[in-house]
Amino acid sequence: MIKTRMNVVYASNIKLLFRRLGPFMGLIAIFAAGVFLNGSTFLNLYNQLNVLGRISIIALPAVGMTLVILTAGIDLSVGSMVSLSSVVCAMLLMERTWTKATSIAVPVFVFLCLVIAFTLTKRFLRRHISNSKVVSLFSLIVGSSIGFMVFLLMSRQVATGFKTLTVLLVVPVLGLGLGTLTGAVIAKGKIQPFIVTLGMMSGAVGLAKFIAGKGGQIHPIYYQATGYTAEGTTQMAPQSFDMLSGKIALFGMDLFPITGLFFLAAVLIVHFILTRLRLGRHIYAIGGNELTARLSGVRVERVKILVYGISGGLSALAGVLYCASYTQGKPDAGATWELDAIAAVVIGGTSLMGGRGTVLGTMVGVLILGYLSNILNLQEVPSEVQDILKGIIIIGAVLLQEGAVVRWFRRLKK
Amino acid sequence: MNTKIFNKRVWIIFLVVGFVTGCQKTTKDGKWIIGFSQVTVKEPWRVVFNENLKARADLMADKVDLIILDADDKTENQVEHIRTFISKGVDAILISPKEASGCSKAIQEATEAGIPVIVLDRNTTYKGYAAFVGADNKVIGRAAGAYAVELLGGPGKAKGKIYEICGSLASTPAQERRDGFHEIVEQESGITILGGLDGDWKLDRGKTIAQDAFQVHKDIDIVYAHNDPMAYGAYQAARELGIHEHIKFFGIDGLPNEGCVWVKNGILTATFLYPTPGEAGLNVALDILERRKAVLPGETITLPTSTITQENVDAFLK
Amino acid sequence: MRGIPKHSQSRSESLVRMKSIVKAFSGVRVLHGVDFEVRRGEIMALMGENGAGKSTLMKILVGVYDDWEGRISIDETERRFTDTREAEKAGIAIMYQEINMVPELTVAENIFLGREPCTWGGCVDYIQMNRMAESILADLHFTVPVTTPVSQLRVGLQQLVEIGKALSLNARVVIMDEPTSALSKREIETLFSVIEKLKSRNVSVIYISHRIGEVFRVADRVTVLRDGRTVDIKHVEDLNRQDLIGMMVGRRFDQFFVKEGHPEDDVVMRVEHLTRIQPNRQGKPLIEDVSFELKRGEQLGIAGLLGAGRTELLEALFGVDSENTTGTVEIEGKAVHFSHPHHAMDAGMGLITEDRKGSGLVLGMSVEHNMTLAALKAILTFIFISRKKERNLSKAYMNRLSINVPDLDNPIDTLSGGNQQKVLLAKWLAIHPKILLLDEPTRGIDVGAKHEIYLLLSKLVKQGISIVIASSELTELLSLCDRIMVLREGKLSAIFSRDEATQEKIMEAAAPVG
Repeated sequence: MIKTRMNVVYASNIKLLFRRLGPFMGLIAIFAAGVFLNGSTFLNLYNQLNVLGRISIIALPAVGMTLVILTAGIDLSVGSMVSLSSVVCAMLLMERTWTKATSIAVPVFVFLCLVIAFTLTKRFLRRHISNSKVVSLFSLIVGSSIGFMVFLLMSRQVATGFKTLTVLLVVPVLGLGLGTLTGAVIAKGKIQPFIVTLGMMSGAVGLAKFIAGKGGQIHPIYYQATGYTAEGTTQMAPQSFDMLSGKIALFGMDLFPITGLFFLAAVLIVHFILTRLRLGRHIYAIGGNELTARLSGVRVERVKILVYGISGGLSALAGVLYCASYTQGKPDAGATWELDAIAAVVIGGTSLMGGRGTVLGTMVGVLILGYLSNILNLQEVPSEVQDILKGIIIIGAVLLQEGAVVRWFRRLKK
Repeated sequence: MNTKIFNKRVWIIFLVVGFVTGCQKTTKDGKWIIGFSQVTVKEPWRVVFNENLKARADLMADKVDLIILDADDKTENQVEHIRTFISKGVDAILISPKEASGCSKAIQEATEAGIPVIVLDRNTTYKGYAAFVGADNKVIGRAAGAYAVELLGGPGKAKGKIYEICGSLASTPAQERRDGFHEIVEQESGITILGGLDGDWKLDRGKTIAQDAFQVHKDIDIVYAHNDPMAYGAYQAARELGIHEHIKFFGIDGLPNEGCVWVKNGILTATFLYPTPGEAGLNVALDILERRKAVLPGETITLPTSTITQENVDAFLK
Repeated sequence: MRGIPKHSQSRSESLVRMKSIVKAFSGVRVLHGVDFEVRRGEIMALMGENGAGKSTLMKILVGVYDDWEGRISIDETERRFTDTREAEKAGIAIMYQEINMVPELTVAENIFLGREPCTWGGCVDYIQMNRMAESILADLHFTVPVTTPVSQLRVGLQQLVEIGKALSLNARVVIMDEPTSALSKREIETLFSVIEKLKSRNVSVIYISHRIGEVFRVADRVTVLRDGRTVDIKHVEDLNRQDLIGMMVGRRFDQFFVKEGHPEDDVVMRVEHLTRIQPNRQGKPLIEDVSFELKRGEQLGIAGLLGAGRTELLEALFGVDSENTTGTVEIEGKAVHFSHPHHAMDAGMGLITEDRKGSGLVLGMSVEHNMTLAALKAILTFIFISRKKERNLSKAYMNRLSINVPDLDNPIDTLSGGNQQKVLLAKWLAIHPKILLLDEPTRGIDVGAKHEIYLLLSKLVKQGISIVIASSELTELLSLCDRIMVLREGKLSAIFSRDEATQEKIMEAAAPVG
């Protein structure tokens, strides 16, 4: 894996060592610290599953952020996207009429279905029919009809309250749509990602407050069962939605949090994309040298749009999971999450300049931050101190990876 | 690289030693361990809340070990507090939640794990907790409404404009203080209630809202704020405009070092006692733990309130 | 054509004398003992091809470099400048080809940058500064108010400000590097009259230019450099245009590479009226109305000076900057329009850029990943990248191009320049192109690797691939190419067949008229 053949490459290998293995070593260190400081309280299944369940929610934006940062971009809007989607999710589940939430979520979803149907039909027909006008027209008809059918299906759910699976589809698609919009402005408008995502960050929160109503009220989720009664209202969310906050249980024992499944799936899929698909290579190339990538035939604009879209979609999914775990949607649900996402990506060894890093590293980064906060909570350390420690770890991780610490040591040796 | 990092044997011994020494004991010397999650200490009322609770716990130090955690005004932190308490196996949990719905699942978890949860001050959507302790904010709101009507001419003949500054409308106290007040005042056709913005219980927010309100409405008679700091903020705004003599200010909380002082100094016309529920909550917890009391899920224990004005304020200034 | 009176028989003393200047960059020598001299009040032209060493020599004179061998004497006193400030103090000022001023500051502020006159309190004395600036510029027919920000001035006026700055430093030698490249006819005349004025004040001018006509008008003497050596120093009156060109290129043409193969008859690409304007729509077009044909299996060379449009032409063919490009391109008889490089790639074209580190490779990626970046479609199983196919492909090209790498996963920046260029070549061969465009393919490469690449290119054309090579190395083009087209200021100046092409002819066609 890491070779130390010649003295000349020793230096770059130290850096490589820290960059590749560093996060992992950090994870082992922090896990050991947890065991050392808190013993079985830390190690027991309840605590571990708790940590895993909690970090899985913030992990989704972090995974999306990894892709964005790999292209040498940044997405400051992930936190706001979580907030917005938590509000939309809560309202879709609880409301029984057309609200601002449905007014934005349904059209976006219908439009996506239309576009997908249109594109697929076009691709299929082009092989068999040569007249392009006919192909386009027919695809448009098919696309519109499918879009219309979807619209009808959704309208029915508006009156009865959305089902869990529908929400799991519709809300991430909303995030995908907004993320794609962000990406389009960045790629085609050639504006810096920092500025555009900053604008989206502010806009999404404003939109969330607007949709929530009354300057940004909280929308709680009520269930039929076990004590979750709502005074005066009879509307309930489907019980299946509550499952999203729960755990998989076998033989009476809790084994794995459901949110953890989403985390795992996201990591595996993104890892697959980065290592086995052309798209992954293109992403690394754009981050490494965008000009070279373009001159090598990479469609830079398309990749960028896709990457920001994925980031938006994953953040929106996190918003749904937040809604389930905290039985509420509110316009500041994901506030400051973008910083945690970036921190996790950086600790995991991905360079903010782009072109270098892995999503497995981000996974480790998320775990490290999660364990850190867990240990400090168990030790009853106040949250201000926790933030300071978090900052130290982030800076320390970057210094180690950039080889600054190693250079310093070497200078001391001399 | 054969550095010491990978020397496995050393690490294993290290971990085992740490593990053994680190394990938390659940019951320390037979005392009850009670965990309390306070939403924030940025409000003076909550500072007193914590102080009163701590004082009571210290009195019972021989049988109670109280852990107080500050959630820095974040729901996620409160959820983590509860989970931490569950991890450590505390005997009871007290919590003053930030939002009605945020901590519900965690409270459900604790309850299902057999730990009685006593919710203080603000109610939650999950009603399966062991008990809720708090003053009835509707009653307080009604009392404030009644007093306002009295000052404006009496029932049936009252006339005037009241500007309302609400607390954080995400929490039940604010909703109830508003609803109770409106219940009484809206019966008077001669009174208009304006405002209703969310001041989030904070003095500076109250001041900002009042500043803008005074620009728009020139003839306000009473400012009704859901807590004393916000009322004081409104007073400051009026003072800067020189109109503070013409307006009466109502607050709620009635802390001896704060609201009562302001009433005494004539800044606030009236405040309404909102007793800190900490001590009562602690008592309920002990009652449950020492099996003097059966757990009736969703039980509500209401604390009484008082109207505090210039006349009776001295009794409340301790 | 009014010229400037010459000091042909003057006995002026030597102001600047440089003897046996040797300079190397990373072990590669670029100046092999150059002699150079300027007399007082003289206008000395400095000429030579790209890469002859003119800029390097001048940078040594103004103190940009401090690791060189040889001797510099100013006024017969030996000096060795450690930084540009010292050179400035000794009276040597330089006007670079790119304007070296702060755009947002005014004319006066730029002239006195770093030496602003101050009042007692330490504040900048603007009144004083502006007055001084005005008096300096008055002689140069500068009528714009000195409080104008420099960014609002035309290039010609900006140059006058630079000259003003030089004068304010009491410069005794002003070095002008390609001063007229961005000027209009009128501004050039103004510049010449200013140079005349300088001469009348006994200020010397070192005039670096490719424009032979201007040199004949302005200069007293001319020094010609070639391949880092001084060819000759002559009075301008004793020369004509042909002599000058001969001096610049007249090296022994040792054709150390023998070309094999002939192009076939059918035309693989036809270009007509290709024009590419600048992105800001101002100024001269980068390429203007270029038309040519490319036969199958042909090696076509593109020669020209810096800025003549070689790179821009190759980029335009490859679909870069298509919004600003017009004209028709036909490939194998079919009209094509590339709006993005990947269209060009689909049509079977590849481009190896002149800056391999900046736009040819991704430095952070491994050797293997760089090699397969353009040809990912070829190593797929369904839609996944097959590690096995990738490894096979990279190994195959490693062998074919004799690339020496211990480990394919090493980052590409650990390779030598020659090997990097081979990897670039492999990258584009992997898409099996019909037409390969190369921009300075052997820049910065040792002789051995160069030879290997020439052999490779020969093999390629034998297989029927057509190659277009843009190069500033005339010997390279003469060795390899079947035809050589010459660009001059964006236009096609000449096309020579292999038999008729000579270094002089190419240089003549490349040098600007007038």
